[in-house]
Amino acid sequence: MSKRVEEMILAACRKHPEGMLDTALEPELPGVTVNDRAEALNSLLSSHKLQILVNPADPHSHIYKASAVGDTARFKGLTAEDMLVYQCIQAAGNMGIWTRDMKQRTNLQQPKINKILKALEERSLVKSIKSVQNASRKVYMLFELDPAKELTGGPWYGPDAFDSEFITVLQEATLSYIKSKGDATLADIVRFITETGISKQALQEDDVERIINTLDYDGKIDSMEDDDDGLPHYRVPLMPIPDTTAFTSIPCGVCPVFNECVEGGKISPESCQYYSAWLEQLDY
Amino acid sequence: MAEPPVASSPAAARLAFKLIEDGFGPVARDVIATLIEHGTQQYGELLRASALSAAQLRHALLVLVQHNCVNCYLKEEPPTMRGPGPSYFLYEAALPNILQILRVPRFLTHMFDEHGNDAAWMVFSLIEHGRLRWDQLAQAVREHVAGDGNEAEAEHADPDKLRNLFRSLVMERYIERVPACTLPPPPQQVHPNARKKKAAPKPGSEEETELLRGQQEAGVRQEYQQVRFSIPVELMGIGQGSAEAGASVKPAGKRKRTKEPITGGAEEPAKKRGRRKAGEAPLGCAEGRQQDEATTAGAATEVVLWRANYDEFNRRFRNDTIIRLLKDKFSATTAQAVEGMLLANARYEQTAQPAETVMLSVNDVSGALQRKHGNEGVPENVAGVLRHLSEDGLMFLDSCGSGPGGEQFKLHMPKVLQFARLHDLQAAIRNKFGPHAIRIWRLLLLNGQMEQKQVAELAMVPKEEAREALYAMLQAGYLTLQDVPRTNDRAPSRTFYTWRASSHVTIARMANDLYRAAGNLHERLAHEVAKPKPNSKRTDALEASLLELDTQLCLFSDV
Ligand code: SF4
Repeated sequence: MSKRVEEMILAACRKHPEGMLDTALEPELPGVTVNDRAEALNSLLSSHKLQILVNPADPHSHIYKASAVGDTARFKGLTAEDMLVYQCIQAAGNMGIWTRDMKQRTNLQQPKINKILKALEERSLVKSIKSVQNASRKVYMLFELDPAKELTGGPWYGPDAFDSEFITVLQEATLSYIKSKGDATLADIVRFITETGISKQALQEDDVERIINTLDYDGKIDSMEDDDDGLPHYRVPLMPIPDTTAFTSIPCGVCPVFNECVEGGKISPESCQYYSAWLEQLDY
Repeated sequence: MAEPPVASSPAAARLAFKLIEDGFGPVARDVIATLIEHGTQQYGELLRASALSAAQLRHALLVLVQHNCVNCYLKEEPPTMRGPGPSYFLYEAALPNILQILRVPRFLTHMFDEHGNDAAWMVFSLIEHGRLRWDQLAQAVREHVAGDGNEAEAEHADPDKLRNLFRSLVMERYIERVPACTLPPPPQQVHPNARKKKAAPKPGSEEETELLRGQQEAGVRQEYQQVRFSIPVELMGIGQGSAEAGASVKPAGKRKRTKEPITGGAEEPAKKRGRRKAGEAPLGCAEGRQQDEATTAGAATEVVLWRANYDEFNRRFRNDTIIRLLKDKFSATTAQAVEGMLLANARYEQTAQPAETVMLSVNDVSGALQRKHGNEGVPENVAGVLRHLSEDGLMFLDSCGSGPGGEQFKLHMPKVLQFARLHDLQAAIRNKFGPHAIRIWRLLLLNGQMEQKQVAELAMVPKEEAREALYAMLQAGYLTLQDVPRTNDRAPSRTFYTWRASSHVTIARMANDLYRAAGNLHERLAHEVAKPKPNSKRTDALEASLLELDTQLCLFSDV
């Protein structure tokens, strides 16, 4: 009897992968007494075939979820304390949780938590992520989750650092697109970038807008509001920033010791090596 | 709008010393250095402060005044109970004029392009000698043209033609009368922030006398402005209507001043001369003090000295910059229309330091263009072009409604020039500090102040690189850092630090850097020239760079 009830419960839960409330379970189990149901649930939970979770829609109730096939093995042999930590991490979602906060929530000792985390990591149940906002802080989240943008810094962060190269590539692609089109809106550019597939992660409008803004700050494009559609349009500037000026085409204009240079001093125009090199290059 | 940038920084002074030493020797340099260090001085003070011998100082001052590198003013103290107050001459280093020495080749090229060879020689002679009478000038030009070895040219330079050319250059304001050395010193400029609101002085009070004296001095200066570009009767040429000649005769001021013939020193009323101490006669002054009624008979033989008016050259260069910018940023037609505005505005301007143009109507603009370029030079729809420009977000042009000559506009020249400077500045920042720096600088300029972290994020630059660029620019004075403490103890850990970019501050900074760089370049040039075997390729390149740098300086400091 109890085996049959267990199977009925699992089947019902598999139909609802988002999880089921206890009350929703009842109609699925016609003719099963409350006691039998409770017994079957307990047995399923202890064998890790079923998980019990806080209902995200209503934190005062809870829901049942069937464990994925294979999960059962991964959870096998975990103690109640292990499960406590696991659930604490699970609750933190894709923002992750810091070990200090875990300690507070679970009331376990730090060394104990560390040991549990190690075990959970070995079983590929959880993973640790470095936050870009707080490089010294490791946060934990469920293995299968994608970390939140706030943690990873969005698409601009490579495996462990800021990906300047990727940004440069995107900038160049955007710029050449604007040049070829003559006039483009944000939507045009987002479409173009998605089509080219330059980015492995899907870029949102605000991500692309940030790239466009850097081009604007670089003085490589002009942005102006269009009278017809009221949207900003991006164009190649009529007056681009010149490549060079009289000031910076002589050594002093780009000199790193400009402020220390005085006549008769250790660094002086008469003895200046930058000028010597500049003048020598004229001879060729 | 901030006041126009003025060339008065130590870096500018250093460059001026070099230019003076080059042209007039070390003694003259010492005189200028003393004058700059101590400010406007009397002869006696100058003698003491400069530690030169009287003969040396006199000689150097003569040369410097002759070459318009030192200004001379007559200061009259208020009368006392015992009679008129003492008066004495004051000397002032004409720093802006000295710095123009660097620009002379550009002046001459401009003259040659606009008015031909003779005109270039004429301006050259004036700059070479500082100040000349008309007959001396004509002589000098004839000698130069003959010296060219070109007979045809020498013939071309016949007196009438030269006189006509001279007249047109005066009318175009390239040449001006030398101001009398008896003008009162310029009023002291008080910084706008330091100006106090004063109630109107009570009648009969000392303040009122002061105010009246100030007004009277301003009147005397104004008298000079009125005759500055007027041509004396004898230069008007034969057969010219007396009406035209009459126009040049000075309006009779209430003191009935007339020009006094001078040769070397200045003549002064005997009364005043008696009150002045020995050694205080003005040196090398062009025009003596004007006479009282008793000597007005000398008016017929008025002798006038002339000099090149650098301001007018700079004004033209400024206009060229404005027109070029509008052509690049908008269109050739816009540039044409604005050229018309500048042409029409010319007669209302006294200096190259720009302000708004006066209100100009579409008819004024088309008229000015037509006079200069003929009918083809007038774009089809001047009103439309200007209206379009006035609607632009850069706000170079203000629309001022309609008047008798059609729609009216005002051009805000400082805004256009500031835009041009900003453009150069950005290129300089990129070359000097790298491409990330210009991104960060513009980000701060457009978005106001920001924290370092935010800067790195929005500029999409790695934090370390952002920090490096920010601090490099801070050190060079191109950015500012402000602390915003959260607690009263201003503890660094509880303080925000925000970065800020200001175009005004950075442009002023760059102007100063330009003077420094020009000083260094000049020094290196002198060093290369002084070598036993100077390499002409190198010295030429240095000279060319110096000229280019000066062109940029003109935009940053003189207009
Ligand atoms: S002279 Fe040489 S050392 Fe001095 S500022 Fe110029 S480049 Fe730098």
